[in-house]
Amino acid sequence: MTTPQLSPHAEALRAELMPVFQAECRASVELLRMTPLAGGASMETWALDVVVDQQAESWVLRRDMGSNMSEQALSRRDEAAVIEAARLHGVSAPRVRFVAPHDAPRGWFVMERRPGESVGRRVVSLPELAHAREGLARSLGRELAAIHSVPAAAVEAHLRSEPLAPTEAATEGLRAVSQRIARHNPVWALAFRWLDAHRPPETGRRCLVHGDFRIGNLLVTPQGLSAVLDWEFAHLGDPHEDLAWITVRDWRFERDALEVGGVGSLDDFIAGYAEAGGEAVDRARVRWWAMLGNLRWSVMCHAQAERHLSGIDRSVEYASLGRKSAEIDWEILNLLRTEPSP
Amino acid sequence: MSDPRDLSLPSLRPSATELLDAAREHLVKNVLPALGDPALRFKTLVAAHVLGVVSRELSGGLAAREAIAEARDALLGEPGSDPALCAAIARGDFDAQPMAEALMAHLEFRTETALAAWNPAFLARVKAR
Repeated sequence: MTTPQLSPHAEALRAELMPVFQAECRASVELLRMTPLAGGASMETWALDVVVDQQAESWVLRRDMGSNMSEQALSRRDEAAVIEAARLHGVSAPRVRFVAPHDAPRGWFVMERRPGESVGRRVVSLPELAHAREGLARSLGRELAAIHSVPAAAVEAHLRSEPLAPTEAATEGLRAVSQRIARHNPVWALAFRWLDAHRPPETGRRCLVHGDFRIGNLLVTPQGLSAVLDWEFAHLGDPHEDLAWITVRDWRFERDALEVGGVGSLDDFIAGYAEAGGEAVDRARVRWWAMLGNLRWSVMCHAQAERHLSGIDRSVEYASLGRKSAEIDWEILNLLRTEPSP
Repeated sequence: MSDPRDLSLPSLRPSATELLDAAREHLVKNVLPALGDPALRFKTLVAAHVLGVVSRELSGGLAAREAIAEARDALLGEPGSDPALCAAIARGDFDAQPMAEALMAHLEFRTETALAAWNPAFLARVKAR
């Protein structure tokens, strides 16, 4: 039986995927439905409903679309390997089922489909998630501690090696992007100046950093956190980077007072982190990385607008991000104002 | 439309902003309700949003641009540019008081001016705290 009314693109995908599924399952695999899910411009995501050996299963396909968002991003193959390693070490990550063969024209992998809501605006507001939100900051802290305790040896073969200290790699990478897009934003200049002047000393400590751990990349059900998604920016680095990224104001989806992703307090989040064995958190380091995180998002908004302008990805959504940065710049100035004097 | 800063050609009606508002209204009232595909709905919402941004930018934009440039040049002490201001910040010219505070006040003014056009709801929300 074939899936009815597939677009030519979906039909081509099906033809590429099915032989891999059949070969690896060593069983009959029937594709009942494939539904496109909201994805970015660099990646397509599909929900696949399949029957394997008479058993119904739900999968998700993540596949490259040819234009990479960032040189920092992992390949689908490496992302899948990191997800599997994290899952095997107790992280709530979806099980990876299939990875594209080496000769596939575009990288992809297929993972099991976990239940839950991922859209940030809904996670912070849906009434049916109200109960889940109560304990969410704490459980996110615990989850992050699990991610940070994945042994580096289990993942480093799949991650870029970075010779610079994590704080330096972060500012220099961002400086390169901001110079490339040439926006001359004085708020950025001031944030860079502050980051350079307040850079915390290098500790030599490295762990698996998710790299995009925030509301919007997490599946939440009425029972709580269901899975951590979107591992393409995973790297070895400073755990405070992840601890701070989720506090970036834009990830609060208008619930401004709840500094952890619009769902809870930083105290609860850090308490959960400590409870699950996370190492001691240095609040000054969190503030440094929060400044870096907000600056990164402001710069990235313009980098994405630049994708539109340069013609790489014509999209009104990317173009509109060129008018979002003022919100983030407001937060950068707010953080500078509230930073305790040295 | 007697505002001399309106960027439309003189006494032209509808003005540039009125045309943008008409296009935005069309998207919101007629196009959005007819769309089923969530991805298409989202992009259309974004398109309507940017028309609103541009409309607000046009109606206050020229005055805001002049005010920002004037304040920046006062801060720099000479006719300058945004790249010149960025370079001065990077050199440390604003590290010490009272220049540090003068710079902060200038950047807050710029950012709030931009927000008034780009996202007045955000500005109202954070101001209301």
